Amino acid sequence: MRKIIVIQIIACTSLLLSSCEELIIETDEKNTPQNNFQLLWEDLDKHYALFVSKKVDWDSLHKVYRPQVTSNTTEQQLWVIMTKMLNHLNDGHTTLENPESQWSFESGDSLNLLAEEEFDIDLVQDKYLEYYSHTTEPSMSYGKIKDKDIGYIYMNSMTGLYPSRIDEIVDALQDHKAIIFDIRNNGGGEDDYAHRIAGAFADGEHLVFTIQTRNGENYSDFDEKVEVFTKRVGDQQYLKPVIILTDRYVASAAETFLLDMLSFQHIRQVGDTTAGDFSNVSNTRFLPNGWIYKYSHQLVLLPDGKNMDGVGIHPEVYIKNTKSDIDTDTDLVMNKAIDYLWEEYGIK
Amino acid sequence: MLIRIAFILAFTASPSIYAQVNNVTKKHYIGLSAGYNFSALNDHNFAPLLYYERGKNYLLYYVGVSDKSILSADVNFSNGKLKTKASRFFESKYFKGEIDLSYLRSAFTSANSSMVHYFGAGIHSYNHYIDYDDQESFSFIMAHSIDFKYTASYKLSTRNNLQLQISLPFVVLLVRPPYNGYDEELKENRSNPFSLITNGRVTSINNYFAISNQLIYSYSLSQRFDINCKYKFGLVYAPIEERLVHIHNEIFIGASFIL
Repeated sequence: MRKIIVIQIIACTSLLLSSCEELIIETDEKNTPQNNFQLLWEDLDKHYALFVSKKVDWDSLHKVYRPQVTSNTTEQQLWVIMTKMLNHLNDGHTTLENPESQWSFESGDSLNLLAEEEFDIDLVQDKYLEYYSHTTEPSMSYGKIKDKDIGYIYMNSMTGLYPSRIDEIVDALQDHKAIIFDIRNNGGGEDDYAHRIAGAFADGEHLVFTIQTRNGENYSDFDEKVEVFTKRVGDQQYLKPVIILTDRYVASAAETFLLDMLSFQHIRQVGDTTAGDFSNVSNTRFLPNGWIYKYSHQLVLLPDGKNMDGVGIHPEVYIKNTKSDIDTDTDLVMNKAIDYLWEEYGIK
Repeated sequence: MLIRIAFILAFTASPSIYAQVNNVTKKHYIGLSAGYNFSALNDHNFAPLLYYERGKNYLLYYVGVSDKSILSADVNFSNGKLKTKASRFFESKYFKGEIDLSYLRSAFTSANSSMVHYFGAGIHSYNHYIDYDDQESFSFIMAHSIDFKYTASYKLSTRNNLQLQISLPFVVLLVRPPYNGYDEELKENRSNPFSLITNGRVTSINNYFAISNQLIYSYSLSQRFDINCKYKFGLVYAPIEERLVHIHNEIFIGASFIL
């Protein structure tokens, strides 16, 4: 009898070890061009948040691009077809990446990439600043405009470990009559970080936007609105005039920061329209062919109900550099900000 | 699916068919085991792909056994890596933690039999978390359940003992990520672990089917020490919203101190 038990145990254990994965979990997803395309399309169909606000007919895009994918479609051809389809979303938070070949794609990023060449922090430092100090927070630097009673802060991202370093910068610049806060070429980071930075300039509590997450198969299925308010953070706030400089590269958490700041009375925006990528980005998603992608899964609305995804934030004073301006050591946006402070506030 | 599960259950539960009853003396064991996890996971909230889970297991347990009852408590932790055939770049980490507290009474056991049958219930907390590239993507399942428990203890000889344990949850507080994987409520709950691990729905086997089946062989070294090895097979199937299937294969080797 004991032998029978032992044999049974060994038999069933062997069975489980060798084949239960195949028995219970159905076959892994097929790595075919058609299936990879379909998985991507269906995932966005079920989860992407901005079809309605961006007026994108996702079904019609399927009708256009799906027939272009066959079993003979090469990897390069599939990449072109998928990126063309995703580009209709004009959404910097919708990305596709092939880690093996190091291909990467960001939807609607052509203008954003141009803005990279229309700003040079070295030019600002050399031509406009009396001194330029770095902090222990790599994203934050500050200085003073030459021969003016104007402070200068530059942030190249909204990410880091110690956002409270902004309090030290505000303390250092507190005696100046104004600050130029430069966030050009700032592609974003973390919203919480951005809110903390803005807290050092807050004149009070203001509703800046609401966030909803898509929570159902219908394009208009969203959960309850979560209201986001500004708040004062830190020992002291800088409440004198602040000019924020922006360009097309400014996106995501940098735009969150900008929305916070523009809700304060003493803040003005000078420069170019921002990228318009407000929704938080989804978890990374995986395809059987080894590609990864992300997309916007939330809807951000201003207090008046407007959605600015794909639109961006228009500046009060519009001006932008060209590459040739930068090549000839001219920063029109900096010049305009300094002139604006003189014209509007008599600050020099 | 259910036919496959029934087939596997029938196979793994069959040792009890050959039961013979014997007296079991009252003992208290406290022990530690370590082992290896070689499981498979398909969590559609994370990816549509099949992942192979490999990692180390650690188990701390207490068992009090008499001829009338078994009282047991154990804590199990495992961590390691998840890989898929799709890409070497998809490698992810996993963390698994389980807590179990059970009480069983002997029944349907005749005198002088080598086999003792125990039936009872337990509370079980099962928590599994996957992380890709420092939370670039993540998924989780937490199930806090009341389980039906069955144990068959078979005395092979004075020093050798074989035990089969089966548990099946019938009431579950099931916690899964929201529809889109991440939302503002989840973000808010990150700083409140109690809310995070309890923010789910109460359900039953229609939305959460999990079977755990363990075979434990123990050898008595002395009056005070046992050594043992254990094979644990488990299946977790949660079809609601984003389907999850998790097949556990775990082996342990450990030692017990007899109080």
